[in-house]
Amino acid sequence: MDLLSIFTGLWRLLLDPVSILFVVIGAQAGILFGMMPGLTTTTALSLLTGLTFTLSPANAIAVIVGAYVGSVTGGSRSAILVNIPGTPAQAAVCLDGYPLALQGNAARAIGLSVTASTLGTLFGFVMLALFTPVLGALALKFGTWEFFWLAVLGVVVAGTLTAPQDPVKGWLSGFLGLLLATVGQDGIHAVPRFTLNWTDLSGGFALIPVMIGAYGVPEVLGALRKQERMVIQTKLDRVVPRFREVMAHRWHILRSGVIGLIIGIIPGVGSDTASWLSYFAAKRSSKTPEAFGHGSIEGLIAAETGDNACVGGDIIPVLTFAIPGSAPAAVLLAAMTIHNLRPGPMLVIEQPEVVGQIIAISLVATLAVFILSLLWVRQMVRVLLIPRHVLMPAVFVICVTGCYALSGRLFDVYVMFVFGLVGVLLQELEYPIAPFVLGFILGPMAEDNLRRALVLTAGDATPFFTRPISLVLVVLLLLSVLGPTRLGQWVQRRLTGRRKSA
Amino acid sequence: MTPVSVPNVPEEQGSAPAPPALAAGSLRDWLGGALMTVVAVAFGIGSAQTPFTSPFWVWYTSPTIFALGMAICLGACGIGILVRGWRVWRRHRDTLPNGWTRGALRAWGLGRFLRGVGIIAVYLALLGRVPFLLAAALLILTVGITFRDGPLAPVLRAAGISAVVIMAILAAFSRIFGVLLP
Repeated sequence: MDLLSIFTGLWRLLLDPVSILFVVIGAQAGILFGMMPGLTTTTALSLLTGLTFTLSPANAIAVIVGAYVGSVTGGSRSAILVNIPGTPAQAAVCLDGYPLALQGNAARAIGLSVTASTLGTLFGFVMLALFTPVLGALALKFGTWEFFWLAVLGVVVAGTLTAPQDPVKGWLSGFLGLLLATVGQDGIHAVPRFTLNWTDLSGGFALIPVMIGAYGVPEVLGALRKQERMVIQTKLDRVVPRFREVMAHRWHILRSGVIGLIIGIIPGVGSDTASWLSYFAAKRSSKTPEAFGHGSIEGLIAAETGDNACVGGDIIPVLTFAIPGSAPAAVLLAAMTIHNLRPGPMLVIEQPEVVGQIIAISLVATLAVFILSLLWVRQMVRVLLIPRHVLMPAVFVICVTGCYALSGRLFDVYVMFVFGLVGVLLQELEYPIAPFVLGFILGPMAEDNLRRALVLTAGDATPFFTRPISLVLVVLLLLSVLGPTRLGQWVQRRLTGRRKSA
Repeated sequence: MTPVSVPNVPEEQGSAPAPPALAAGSLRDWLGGALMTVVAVAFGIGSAQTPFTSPFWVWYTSPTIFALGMAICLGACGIGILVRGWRVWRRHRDTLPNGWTRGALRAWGLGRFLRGVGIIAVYLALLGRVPFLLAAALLILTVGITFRDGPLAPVLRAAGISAVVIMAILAAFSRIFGVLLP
């Protein structure tokens, strides 16, 4: 895959007004979903995957990527205007966006946040275009042993990073996902497992109902559980930011872009982590750190750039290793699989034009989101006025439609609801959802590669620890597991002490 | 512009003092650990029921070997959390006031939650029995009316508009894109 494939994909896309229309529809839907507090990017993508099932692969991916970019950008509206983040990734935006709105600078804050989002997304996608071929070539060196470790590493790292106070809970959540992924016929002998002689369960739990259930249903039930009143004035002045003002923050944008990209590539860790890390990095390097939390433009721009650059980073491992960088990227992976586009090392080699097309769609989506975000600000913020107890049942109806549309089985709708209740339980017991979903997605990959590897070596597990790339992954896994323990912290203290004394 | 936000106001708040965080956290820990352990044991027993060797496979290609491994990992971590939570709980449970469970659940919004679950369960039971668009409109209206926090008329109007919009969108999706409706 080279730049020519990307330009070919871009050119094809620009010549196809229908695909562009689908990108714009996806982007607009994403913005609306993103700005509604409680509706996450994952929910938006899961729903649209179901609703776009009958479209051609290119158009379905156009809607989903458009919605991905749109929802990550759209979440800043409610963060700035009502101090409630549209998606978890915008929690850091509230810190400075809302004080700016209170100071009468809401329009300026929205304009700058949209611009920072666009620049962050563009940075992420340019890196996606540059890194995908390189990582694709590296992925070809991976054998079945490495893919097993990669899946396990993804789940464990996601567990460690999403539950930093208590990583064991993160790992437990991941193990639960891996375990539930084994329900249904096994991939080699087609032996039914844990099906309780229930025919509907012989194929296991479908991914989209599980994801909509785990992410969407707790949001619906949570909104009904809490009484929430939002009062907002939609009077806004100039939204389009001044070029000079944006350029004054170019280093914050670049640094946050790099942070977002790296966080995106790490499996299971999403935009929220990228946003917070970018925010704190900007605060540390700022000449006015005291302004952070009181309406700092630097803080707002850093948080927005970081969480949007993450999108490109999230998609890189999806295309090259078929490992999602975050929950929304996992839905993209599922959507691609549903439409018979098999992400992974061979996609980059065999169908570079598909990768080029996805990158082209991403770039057009970024532009569409930028224009739509600045064009309809006044009208779109009115959506925030819809009472939650009226909006959420409508969202639930769309959830049901999204689940049912995939295979036409009511069983999937019931699965969604049951996993929704599981999601509520996990949330209340303080278990992160992301490792659970990632475990569910990577479970088949881990299991199939483990058993295949053991077949290849007639039960000898030595290559899992002796092959060079496997060894590197094992070391990373051990570091991830031992890092948060007392032993790991003791080693870190010793290393820091030695560096200070040197 | 002056945006005003009223943060979450849980229903029926303030009927009991909040329990000390340590005891409540440890209760969550041991409850969660116990649940995870039960799941692990169930899957462990299920895995063990499939033979590990047969004419078709050896132990390392057994259909349930991976599930057994994961059940062991889940069980080990679950027991760890259970024991840790139980120890702290035993030490601190006396710090909780009498009847705090009921107060905490009410403050969390259990009543509204159960009402929501109940309405959704009825809606799911109706799927396939009544026309989908009618069921959708009924759900939106019922939830809107049940969870309203003001006079009925504006809620009825908003829920009615929402129901019509959703019905129109779904009908359009079904006609134009061929999306299957239950």
